[in-house]
Amino acid sequence: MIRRTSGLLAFLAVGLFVASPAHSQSVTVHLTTIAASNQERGIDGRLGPLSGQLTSLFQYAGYRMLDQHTLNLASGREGSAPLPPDRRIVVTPRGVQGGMVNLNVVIRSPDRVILNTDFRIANNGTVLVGGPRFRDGVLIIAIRARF
Amino acid sequence: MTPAHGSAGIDEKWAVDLMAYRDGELDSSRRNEVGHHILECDECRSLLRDFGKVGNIVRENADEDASRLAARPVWPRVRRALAPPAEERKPESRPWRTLVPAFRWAFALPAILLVFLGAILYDSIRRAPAPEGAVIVGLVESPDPVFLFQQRGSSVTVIWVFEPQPAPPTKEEARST
Repeated sequence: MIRRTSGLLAFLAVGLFVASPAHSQSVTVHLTTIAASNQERGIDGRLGPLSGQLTSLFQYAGYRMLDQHTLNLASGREGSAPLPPDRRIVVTPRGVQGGMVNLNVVIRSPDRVILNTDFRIANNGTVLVGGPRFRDGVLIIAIRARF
Repeated sequence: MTPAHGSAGIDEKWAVDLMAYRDGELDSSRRNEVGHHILECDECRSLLRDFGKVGNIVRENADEDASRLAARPVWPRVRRALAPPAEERKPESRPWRTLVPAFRWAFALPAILLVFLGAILYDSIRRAPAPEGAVIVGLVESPDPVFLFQQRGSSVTVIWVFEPQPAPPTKEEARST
C-alpha cells in the first residue's frame, strides 16, 4: 500500500513538473537599438509602431534605428547582442509565471556593467532601456518579449 | 370502662388491637376505648413501645434492603438472562467494516481526481494572462543614476541610465591627437 501511494505521488510530482510552463516555455526577445539625438532630425520609418512611443516619451529631434536582433531563448539560457560602439546586451529569461516572463538584462561596456536589471514582462510588453551615450546623443534599446 | 384484658395478661386478640391502634386502623369508638386503657395500663403502654421499636427496626431493614437492591447492577443480569445461549448468538454484524476495503478505490479515485483538478486549476491561475504589455520591474542596479518611468495607460516602461558625459580631452591629449 505504501509503495503504491508513493508511486502515485511521484507520478503526480512528475506530471506537475512537466506541466509547469516555467520549465518548458521558450521566449522570443526582440531587441531594437535606436540612436536618439538632437543633431539628426526625423524618425526612421523602420521603427514602425515604436516611433509613436518614442515621440510620446522623449523629446529628441531624431530617432534612427541602428540594429535589430531576435533571440530565441530557453529558460535559463542567456543570449546577447552587440551595442554600439563596443558594448553588449545580455538577456536571460528566468521562467514564465502568472502570464509574465522573468527577464534579466545586463548592459556592459568593456570596463564596467552599465545596468543590471530584473523585470517581469507580459506577452508583447516593451521595456525601453535608454541613456548610454552614443556620439552626440544616446542609445535607446527597445526590449520586447513574446512567449 | 370495660377492662381491655384480664388479669392473666395480654391475650393475642388484645395485642392485635394494640397494633391496630398504633397503626391507626381502629374505628373511633374502639380507638377511644383502647386509648383510655393505655393511659391506665402500664403493661399495655410498655407493649405499645415495644411495637414501636419493632416497627422501626422492620422499617429500617426494609429501607436497607431497598437501597441494597437499587445499588446492584440489575440490568446486565437481566440482559444476560434474556440473551440466547452462547452457541445460538450470532456475531455482531458491522457491515461498514467489510465495505471500506471493498470500496476503498471508490473513495481514493475521487480524491486523486481532486488533486489533479486542483493542480490544473492552480496551473491555469498561474497561466492567467497578465494585462497586455504589463511590466513589473524587480531590480535595477547601475553605477550611474537610474530613472524608472511607467506611463499611466501605456504599455511601455522606461529604464533610463544617466551615464555621465565623457570628460573633455585635456590639452595634452588634444595635442597628441
